[in-house]
Amino acid sequence: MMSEHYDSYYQETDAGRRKAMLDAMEKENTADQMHSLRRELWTLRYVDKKTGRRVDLFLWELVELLCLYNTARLMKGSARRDAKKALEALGASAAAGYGKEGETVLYEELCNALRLYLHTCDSKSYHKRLFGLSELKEEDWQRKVARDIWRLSEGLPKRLGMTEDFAILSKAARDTFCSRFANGEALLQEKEELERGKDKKQ
Amino acid sequence: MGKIKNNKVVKAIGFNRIVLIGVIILLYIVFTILTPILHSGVTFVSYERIMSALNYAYFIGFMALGVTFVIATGGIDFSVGPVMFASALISGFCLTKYNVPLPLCLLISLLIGLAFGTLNGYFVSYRFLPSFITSMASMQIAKGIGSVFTKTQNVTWPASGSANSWYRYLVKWNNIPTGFILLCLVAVICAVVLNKTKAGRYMLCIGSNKEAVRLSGVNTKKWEMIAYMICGMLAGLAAIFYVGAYTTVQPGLGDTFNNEAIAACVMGGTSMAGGLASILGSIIGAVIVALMQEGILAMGFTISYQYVLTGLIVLAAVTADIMSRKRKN
Repeated sequence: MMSEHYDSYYQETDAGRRKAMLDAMEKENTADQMHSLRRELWTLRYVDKKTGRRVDLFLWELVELLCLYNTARLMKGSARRDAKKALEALGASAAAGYGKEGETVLYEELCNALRLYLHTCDSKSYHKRLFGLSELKEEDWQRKVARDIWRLSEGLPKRLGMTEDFAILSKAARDTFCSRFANGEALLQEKEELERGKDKKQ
Repeated sequence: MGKIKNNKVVKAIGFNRIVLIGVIILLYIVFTILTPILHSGVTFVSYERIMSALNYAYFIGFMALGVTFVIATGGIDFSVGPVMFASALISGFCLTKYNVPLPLCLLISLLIGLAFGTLNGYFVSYRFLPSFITSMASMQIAKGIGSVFTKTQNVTWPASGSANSWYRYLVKWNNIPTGFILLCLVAVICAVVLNKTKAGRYMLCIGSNKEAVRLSGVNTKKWEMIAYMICGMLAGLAAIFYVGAYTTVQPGLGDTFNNEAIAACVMGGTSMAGGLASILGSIIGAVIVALMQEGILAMGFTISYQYVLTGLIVLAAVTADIMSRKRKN
């Protein structure tokens, strides 16, 4: 019964409904040590400290990390600092104090954010190319999504030499992508080989 | 090749930009060799030629900088050329016919550009019109307004030596290409805005995944509109540098400069899909376009050849961008 609640909490992407679920879970099982971390992650993710507005800062950090991949080649030092800040905003330091269990909770939360990210990839604007004049074909769109996931899970961590810091996010990105796309592993493998080919040429 | 790409200096500047700088040097050499052969008695290597090419690079450069912001958000602005001309015509008309003070005329030029940018931005971001259609429409409006305002008359800004001619010092002062210094200064500001500020990050991220940025709580409409406003204002600024270099403006023209500004951007490494932009690349691209224009004229060909060449450059740049994106994906 309890695990069902957790499952639906991590499947749900609406902040308000998730808050209600979190409250209900806390009432049902007061002994769970991870409730405080879940609440902390919820606040970290959905509450803008400056304005108090409801936002999704995890989603923003994911997009920002993807943009960082492009600039990371030139300004590695500042990119590394920005990446550290982004990982912190994604709850890395909040979860650090809770040991292995905390890592699992963070992983689940990141999977939830990534599921929402993949959902945004279905939007019309993501399908556009050539100044928005034409749209991507289905297979090209899948490759574009795979490119984003590869950048988050492999490309950026390697480029910045931060593989360990990115470990949880990398795993969450790969797993979420592969659970959404049946050919997910093959797409990521294809991207990986493409990048390896480039490295060999260099 | 690998060793070159991994070199620290090359990495710091960027391999693509080094290639573009190489293209500038190569073009210069080619034009230096071909000009005396094709156009006897004419040489390409001279201070005047460099200044002439730079005059062209200024206004194309400012427009390219503006278009870079728009392309970064995943849109396009095909109206920059006519907007630049409309700004130059209307502000020039105010100066010459109504004796409006020069500083105010320069401000009017910027404001006209800003107004067109706001118009484009509003319809693209708040009314969800395709940027292609919107900017095509405002291109016609800009051409029309410029003609109507001046009654299809040419507008000639004050020549050097006459009263109110100090605006020309913005382009050249005592043989110093002040225009180039100002272009670099504006480019640095644009680079800082695009790469180091929240606003720039929003614009780049909108180009990368607009829906994700919207859901994360960012006002995407506002930031997309601001990108168009920056573009419009830089078109107004380009107008000041255009008249600073050439003084005379004809109504009903300007659309040929759109392609050159867009070509400069795409050549410079700004992605046509959005989310990736290079300010330095756009400036180098503008210098290449200007050098080609100067080279073609020096070799004795008419300006029509330059249109052909610009078209070919756009085709080549777009094809290269699509192929590189396919390879990356």
